[in-house]
Amino acid sequence: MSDIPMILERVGKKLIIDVAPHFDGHYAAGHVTMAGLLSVMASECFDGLVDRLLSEIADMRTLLIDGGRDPGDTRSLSMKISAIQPTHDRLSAELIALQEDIETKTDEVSKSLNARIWQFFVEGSEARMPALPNFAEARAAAAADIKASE
Amino acid sequence: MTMTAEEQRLADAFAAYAETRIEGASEARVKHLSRIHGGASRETYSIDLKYKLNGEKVTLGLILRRDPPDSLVDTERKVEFAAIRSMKEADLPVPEALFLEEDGAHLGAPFFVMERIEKGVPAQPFQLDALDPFRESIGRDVFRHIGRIAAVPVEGSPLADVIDMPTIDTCWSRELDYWEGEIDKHARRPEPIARAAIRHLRRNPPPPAKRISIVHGDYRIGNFLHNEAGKITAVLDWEMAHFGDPYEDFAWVCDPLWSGGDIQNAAGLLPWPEAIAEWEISSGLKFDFAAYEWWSLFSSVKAIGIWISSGRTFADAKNDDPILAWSGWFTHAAHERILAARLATKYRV
Repeated sequence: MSDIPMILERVGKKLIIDVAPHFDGHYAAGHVTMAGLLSVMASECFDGLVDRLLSEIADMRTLLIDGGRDPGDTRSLSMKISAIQPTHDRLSAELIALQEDIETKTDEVSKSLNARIWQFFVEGSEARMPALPNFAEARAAAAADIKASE
Repeated sequence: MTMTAEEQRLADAFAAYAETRIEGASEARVKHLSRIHGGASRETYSIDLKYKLNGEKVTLGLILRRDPPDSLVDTERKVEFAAIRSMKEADLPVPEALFLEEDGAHLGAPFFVMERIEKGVPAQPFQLDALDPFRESIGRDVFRHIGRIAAVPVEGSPLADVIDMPTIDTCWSRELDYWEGEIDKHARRPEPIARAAIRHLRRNPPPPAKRISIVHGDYRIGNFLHNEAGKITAVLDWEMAHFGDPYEDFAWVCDPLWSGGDIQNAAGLLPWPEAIAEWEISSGLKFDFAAYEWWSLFSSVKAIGIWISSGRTFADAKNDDPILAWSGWFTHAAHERILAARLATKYRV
């Protein structure tokens, strides 16, 4: 079985709903809940992470070219996150330098490019934001499961 | 629950220490010791200490705050200790700060001890609904306290003995320099949104502070106790206290992350006009939106500085508390989103 997001989600919910209550009042309860929460968040992000990184690389490449900068070689021989992330980091640093250069200029071209960079920040930060797991809903579902099995 | 061997060692060492510090105490022992989750800047323990005083049996509820190997924020415990004492002198609801030890000889690391507030429960971040139906009355206390903190005279306060004071013109740049430095030191990746926000704040400085006051530095949902009937019983977690602009605390408690996204109410608790009125009455200051706006954006930059530091601490395996990974991920992402959304509107998006 290699359905990693499903495994992470189920393990996370198990830790939060079934395991953590056994440590009620103890310091470990906080650790278990947090570990469960992180597991659920990882399950949510796992599937789309490479797609998001590649999409952002493409967007940053376009912004840099439009800003008169050479983005360098942005192709990767591998789809591993460890291979893609350094390119993402390099372009992010280039984008900081580009924005610093244009953001105080008053010509329309610079203003327009700066607005596009901010739009990229808005969309990127939305895409990176994990959802806060709905524990009340999860607990209610678990309670319903238990009742159904009785 | 029974204590682990490590907790038992700490309990024994603490009892021996306490007996030397409480005049006339004998036969001191720790009846109960439990670590409180969430205090990632210090290890926080709740302790029941029993001892004899003039033949009488005494039980004392205490909180021990011990330095961890590495923490979310890098502050000296003497600052927190002095800040609590400053507030106690001003009659704000804070615990009594009892003992401060700056070397690790007694308990393996520097620490301080304060009284445990027995009446009160913590308000949980991200669960503002749990405060209903007392949300507004707690909100009034929040803004009254922030105003009262801002009104405490700084000259002659215990805090003035341990940290220096900025001028009214430099407190904004001092804070911004500090948090930019934290981002420089701890960022594992480029931070385009935080960097753009820092440049924006430098290009658009706030008006000079109306006065220099004591700033709690982390007054928000989660860092106070309430009596479940609408009153705040204690303001806690003073480790980020410093001197600065009173708007820093006002803006921090109103940050959208702590407000549950409720921007219709200040801090997600109280209608804005009422919050401002409470603060103006207790601080003696007139609310200035331009100052608030700057410090509000700054709050999100400062938050990103904290989350980057905590994520780095976790990644470097200096402290494996999962809350540091959560801070470095979820709350970091939340504040990037907040900053991007707010600043983009200023640049024609």
